[in-house]
Amino acid sequence: MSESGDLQPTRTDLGFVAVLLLVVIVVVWLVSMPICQFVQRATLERMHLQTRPFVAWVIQQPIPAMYNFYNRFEIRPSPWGKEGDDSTEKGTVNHFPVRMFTFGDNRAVFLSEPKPRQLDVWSSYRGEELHTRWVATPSAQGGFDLTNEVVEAVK
Amino acid sequence: MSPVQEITPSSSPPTTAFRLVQWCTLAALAWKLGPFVEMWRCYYATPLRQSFFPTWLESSLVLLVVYAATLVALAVAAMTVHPKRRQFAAWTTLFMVSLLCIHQGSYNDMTFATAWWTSLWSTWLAGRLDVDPPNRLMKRAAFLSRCIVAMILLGGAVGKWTDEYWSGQVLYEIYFVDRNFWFFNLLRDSLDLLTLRDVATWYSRKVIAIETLCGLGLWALPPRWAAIVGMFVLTSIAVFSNFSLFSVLLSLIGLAAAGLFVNPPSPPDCETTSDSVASQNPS
Repeated sequence: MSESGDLQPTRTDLGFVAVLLLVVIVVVWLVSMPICQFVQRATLERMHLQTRPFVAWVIQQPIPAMYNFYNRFEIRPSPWGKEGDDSTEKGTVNHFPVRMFTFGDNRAVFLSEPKPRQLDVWSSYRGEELHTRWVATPSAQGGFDLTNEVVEAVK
Repeated sequence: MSPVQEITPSSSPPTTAFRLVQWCTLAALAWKLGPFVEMWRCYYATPLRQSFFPTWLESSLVLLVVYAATLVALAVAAMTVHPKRRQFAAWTTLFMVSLLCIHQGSYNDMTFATAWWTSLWSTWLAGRLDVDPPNRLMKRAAFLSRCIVAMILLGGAVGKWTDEYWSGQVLYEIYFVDRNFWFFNLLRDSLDLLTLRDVATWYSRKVIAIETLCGLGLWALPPRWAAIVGMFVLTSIAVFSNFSLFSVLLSLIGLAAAGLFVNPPSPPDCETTSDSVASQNPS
């Protein structure tokens, strides 16, 4: 039997077809990203936790996005210093830049003391850019309350 | 025992490939056990409330239970010889890893995105191990595995098709400036700043080229070639950029290795005989 013949799923193997179809859909989504503004905006919003409704963000999560986009951050203590202050931590991060507050290894560094912190994150991709600002405020219940605003929406 | 169960012995290539992928995914998740414990302590001590996530997906307790359940389910899937138990463990793993992909404490970690795809492949394969002839099933499993590996590498490539990556600026800032890793320490110790910046450019272009080529072409290679190329590329990514990336890549390395279990092409008569023999001699 030929190779192509072996790849034909049996009549009942709908799982094979479903997984392959899902892969094809993701590939179409990925290859359209450089040219499709909708995909670019959706992915930038996904990276910044701005996607609404939540289920739309959930659906995108299996789409591979390692080391995607140019993601920069700045973290300032309260009172918010000016850009370039000595107290400002800044850097570049591989993906999902809000991880500087949400992910454990960064949270342990930047939210180690019960003091307000402000995080600015920028992500850019082929002329599209999203800038969001996050404020972590110590909570009476322990930990922090995290609020955010879109400073500059995708162009 | 039904005739269907007889055609796939526990040592058949698809079963062995399935087990290998479970062990590799388990190793991937266990690779970050130490960091996970440290992060979990932070989540427990410093909870973060935000409107984006449902409250239960911010819970450190939920994260701990789901992570532990995933490890257990993977171990069960890798070891059990009972088809129903294997399928249940595979579905459980897929469900748990899905939660890890959307939890506040783990959503950004690509470990769980790659584990999600290997779990999806595993869930499909677990349901077919006792249905299809091993040789045909193995060819389909290998085809699906290289499609998934190619797609994931393409996902890495597409996000880097930018001026900032092509110039090397992004990876220069992430890795070359101050990352404490043998490769970058060696380069910093050996090169002046201008040369280091040039090396960052070509390093970044190499990454883009390899991810793009593999992303677009790996699925079309013969199974064994795809397996070897895929395993080599995935391993090299961790060896030359960050050992902690093995938590992301080990599951994919296992998935890529599935191609090694495909028998070399044989004349039609021999192949038909091979499946027939397997169906008559399940041991």
